[in-house]
Amino acid sequence: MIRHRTFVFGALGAIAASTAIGSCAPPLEQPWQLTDFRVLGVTVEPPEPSRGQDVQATLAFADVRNRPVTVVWIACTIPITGGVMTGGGDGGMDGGSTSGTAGCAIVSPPGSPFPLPDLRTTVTVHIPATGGSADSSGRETVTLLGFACAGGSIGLASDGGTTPTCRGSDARGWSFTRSIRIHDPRTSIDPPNSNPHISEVRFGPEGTTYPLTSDNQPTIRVCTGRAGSATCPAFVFEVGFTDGSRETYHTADLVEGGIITRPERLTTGFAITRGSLGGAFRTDSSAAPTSTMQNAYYAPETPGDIHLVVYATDGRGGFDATDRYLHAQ
Amino acid sequence: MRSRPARRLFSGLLGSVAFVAAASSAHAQGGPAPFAPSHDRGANAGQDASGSPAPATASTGENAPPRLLRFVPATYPTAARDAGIQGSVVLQLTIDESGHVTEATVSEGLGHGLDEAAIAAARQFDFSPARQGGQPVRARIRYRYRFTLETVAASGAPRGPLAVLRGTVRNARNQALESATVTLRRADGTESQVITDATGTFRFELTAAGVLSVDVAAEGYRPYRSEEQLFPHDDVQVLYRLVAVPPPIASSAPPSASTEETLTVRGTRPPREVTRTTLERRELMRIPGTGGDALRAIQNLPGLARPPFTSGALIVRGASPADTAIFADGTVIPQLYHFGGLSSVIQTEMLDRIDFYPGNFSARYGRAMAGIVDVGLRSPRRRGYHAVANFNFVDVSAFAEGAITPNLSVSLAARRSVVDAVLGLVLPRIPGVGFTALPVYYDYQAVIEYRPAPNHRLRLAVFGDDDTLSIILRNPSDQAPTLAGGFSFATRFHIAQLSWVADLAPGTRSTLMFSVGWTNTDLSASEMFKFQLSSFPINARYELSHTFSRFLRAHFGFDIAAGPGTVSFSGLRFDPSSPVGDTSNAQRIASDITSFAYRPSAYVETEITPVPGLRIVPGLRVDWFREINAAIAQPRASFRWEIVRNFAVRGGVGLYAQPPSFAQSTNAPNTFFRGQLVGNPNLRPQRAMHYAIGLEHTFDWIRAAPFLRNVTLSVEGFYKSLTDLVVGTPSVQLRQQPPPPPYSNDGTGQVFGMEMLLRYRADEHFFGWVAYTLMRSTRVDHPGEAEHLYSYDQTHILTTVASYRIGWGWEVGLRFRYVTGNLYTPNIGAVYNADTFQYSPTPGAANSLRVADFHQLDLRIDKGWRFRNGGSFGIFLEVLNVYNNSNQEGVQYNYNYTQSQPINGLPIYPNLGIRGEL
Repeated sequence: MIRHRTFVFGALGAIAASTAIGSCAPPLEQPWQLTDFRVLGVTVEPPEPSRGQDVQATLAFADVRNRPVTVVWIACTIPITGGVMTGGGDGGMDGGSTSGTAGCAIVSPPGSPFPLPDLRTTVTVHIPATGGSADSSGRETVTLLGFACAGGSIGLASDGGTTPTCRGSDARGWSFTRSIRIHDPRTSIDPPNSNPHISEVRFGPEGTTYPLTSDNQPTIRVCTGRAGSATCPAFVFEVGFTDGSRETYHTADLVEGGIITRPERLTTGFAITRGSLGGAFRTDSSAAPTSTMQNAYYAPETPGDIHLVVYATDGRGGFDATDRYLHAQ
Repeated sequence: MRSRPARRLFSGLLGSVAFVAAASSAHAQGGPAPFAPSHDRGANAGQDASGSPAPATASTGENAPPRLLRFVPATYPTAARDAGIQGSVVLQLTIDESGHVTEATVSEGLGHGLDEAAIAAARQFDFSPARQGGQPVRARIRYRYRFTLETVAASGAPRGPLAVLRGTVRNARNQALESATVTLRRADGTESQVITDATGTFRFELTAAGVLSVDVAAEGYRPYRSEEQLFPHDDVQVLYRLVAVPPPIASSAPPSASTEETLTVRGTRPPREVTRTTLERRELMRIPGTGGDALRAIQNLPGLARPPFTSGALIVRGASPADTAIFADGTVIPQLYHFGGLSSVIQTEMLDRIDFYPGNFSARYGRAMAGIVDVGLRSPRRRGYHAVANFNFVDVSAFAEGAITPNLSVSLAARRSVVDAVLGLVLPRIPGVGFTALPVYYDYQAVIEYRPAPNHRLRLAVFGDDDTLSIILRNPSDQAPTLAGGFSFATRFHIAQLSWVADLAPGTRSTLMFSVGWTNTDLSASEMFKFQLSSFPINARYELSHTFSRFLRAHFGFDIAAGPGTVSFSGLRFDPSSPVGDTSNAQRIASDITSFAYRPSAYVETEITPVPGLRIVPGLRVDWFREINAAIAQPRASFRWEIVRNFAVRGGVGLYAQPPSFAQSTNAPNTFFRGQLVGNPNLRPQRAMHYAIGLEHTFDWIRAAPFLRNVTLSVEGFYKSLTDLVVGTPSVQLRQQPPPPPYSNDGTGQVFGMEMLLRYRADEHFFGWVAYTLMRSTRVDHPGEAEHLYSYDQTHILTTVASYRIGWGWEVGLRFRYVTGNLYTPNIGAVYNADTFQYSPTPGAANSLRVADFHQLDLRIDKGWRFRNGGSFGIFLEVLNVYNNSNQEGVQYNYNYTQSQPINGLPIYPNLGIRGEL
């Protein structure tokens, strides 16, 4: 009996070991870890323009090394998904093509060649009076394509193609897409959408948080033990929004039919250079539609500056981003 | 000097001329006299006046009756034959302590010289002596010697036998067994019995064809029963292999009586083939790494690729698992294995046969363009009872069978997983495991068989399976923060099948099968979506086989696959501008798509035997697929030619068609993309042309190396040309207005390769084989595009199996596998979607990289005990991946596809099982 039980436990241990084998490998980088240059989003102002209107698109990004960032843009009247302008990898593009841009009508400024000779992080996009394309839910959109390069210069790939690349020994590039929804008063009874605004970022032990500002960059104690233990201080970040950030809009009820009124639900992304977060995203839930976005945080194991970026979307084209700093010692 | 095949041809032609003329006796055909002396086993089964048991009765314990070891046929007196005298002569035989017949007298005679002939023959019989208290004693028995004139033609003119069943009885060492008793029971209940000669051979000449029950018995060996179907003018040659009875007293015997039975597994079985490639049940149940599951054993045969970890898929000759059909006695079943291939959905004890066709299969099978696995359920035993129980760390199962009446028998089996209980204990305690996965499965089978007459078999079979996998996330996903809570995936089927097999007349068999069932696939993810696919499949199959002459046998049949099906979807239509995982702005939608499948088919297949040893099987199958309103005729042909003894060539060519899947062909509107359909109802059937040529050879002609007698080699080359493959339309094209159909028949491909099986047939100690496949599978997705390797291409597949019975109930086995690494498409970058906060990977060249090659050694150790009452108990330990190789199964990426790392399979993994049997 004893021998039998010993074997059973041995076998269970083997099963446990086999199941946990994945955790033995070095963990892959998590989306809340800010370790390099990252595109966070694009702020479009106004986020839901009318036809014939000009909008300003501004790239929101974070770079742990504060390298200069240049961007090339293209605006199209057809929806574009991934695979059009590929990016990633140090120093430039790893491949891909621009074949997906075939039939992509450049709308801003009219007649401009590709890539647009605008290397700024903010660009003006002209919404055409006619044309445009419906996305999968039937809304007319203009799609922005961009390629952002940190610490290098943008050029075309050496293979003679039209793939943009980020040249430089310490350069990093990313391709991105962003859709701009066109407001049509003939089909929408709602006013044009507006961007949400992050009103504050709070920090501290849970229940006793305080605002983080550019003037208030707190210093925290480093973690000397396992996360969650008494020797590893635990904190929370909380993100608040202005009152008008969660707008109400009308949409079709595909199940019951008719039109329903819904509030926007915000989703907030977090990324930080040091320490560890409880997760990369927080979102309004049906149970708490206007909740404060709260995210757990454990201090880093070594002293130094800590850079937090926070970015949010209302799911209808509205976007906002901000950042904060802390110190660990 | 004529060659041997030429002689066979000549002899066959002579024989056929003789038959057609119907004017000659068996002598004219070179055969024996047209009668078959036999003794009536039924009479012998009783006791004589002195109380001695009949000679054929099996011995029990230390008291045993005499047992006939050598039978000598009597000479049929010419006068009696000419007068048409037949019947039985009952003899009183006295047998001394050495087994010799010392006295023979007639109790009931026939006259006409038959009494004397019977006595003369009986005096030459050899018996094992009767035993009392273990000591040989003198005994007297009653013996009925039956004289039968079996070859009187309807016209009254004598002619040769209508069919011949002949064969050899050997032991596990391939040694011929002399004096084995072979008893043949006909459909009308009559029996004949012969004794094998010094070369282990026997021969029955029959005047009536049909289904025959054959019992083979030899002292010191387990009795064996087989069922043979003979058609008029058949000359069927069989090989029966008996396994020695282990020592009767416990502790050092093999672990299970049933492990010594035989289960027919036909790898690349030639169609309508009478020569069987048989794996003993011991082989099937002792392959390391299979847990004693016979259906998992076929994964070690040539032609099957190693499936990705936890998939349990059947990858036949580089084809998609969806291109291989799985049948249970003719009814399609959705899957062969439970989750991850842990075990099969039908218990080993319920199996009668496993037919695996990696290509060039018969016209009776259709709607699949790669391979066929057809599993047959065993008939319940018609005497006594039998029960088995198994337990290991994966599942627990039980099986029982028995006879209710002599004509009515039943078998039951059930299995339930226990791995969920084990994982439920372990997973929550493992740091870093972010989920709890609880795979639960069960299966069951029940067979009720009724034989209202010897030539009729009526059977009701019910079988089913239920697999449920629930994943409980402890924390929300970083990539999708609203993804939390429970996710579940379930597949299940329940099928009731009624079949009727009848031998309507000599050479004419009718087989009818009808089944109804319910299959269900259920997938749900938190609040995100719920997908359910339900169908009520109806399968009907009828086949009529008839032998027209010794050269020609034909099969006519039809089968229908029909039934309603419903796809239900309820979930969220995501706002494309919302962040990944954000369901706040998603809209809930629901969709039901109902259809009625109707796929009738008809086929005809003939077996042409122009010369002995050569069989050509042309066939034609016509399928109609209602959902795409397409019919297709599929001509097929195969052959097998045994050029000389132990050397045969086989091959085939044929067209195989497969309909597109339900999703690919439905004309339901696409809820997500307005103006589009889910599928394309104008698709054509997918087509595959199969070509194969191969050879088989047995090395038993090498006298200098006796061990080679158990070695066989088969090699086969194959080529498949694939056309009209259904492929998806590129997403860019789907955005054109009007959008093109989402699927087209643009795909083409080819598969070619070679398979080899070098096998050592199981003897008393050892069995093993080397299976090797060299293969290449490619596809072209759209015209003008480059050819690429298909996802299931594996260049080298090597499987070696060896098992050795040490003695004292111990047996040790090893399995080593080496397989080329699976293909995958690398991601070479990503595009950030600023609307959804999600990175979309940029794929590189399709299937341009492989994970590391797979190699693994598995070990199995068995220990068994047998008991006096016939029961047994066994225990086994399997250790998978003995040297703990980190076998890469795939590649995982981080959130933005800038980092990757291998996904590895199981490390060293032990499994313990026990088995009890009554």
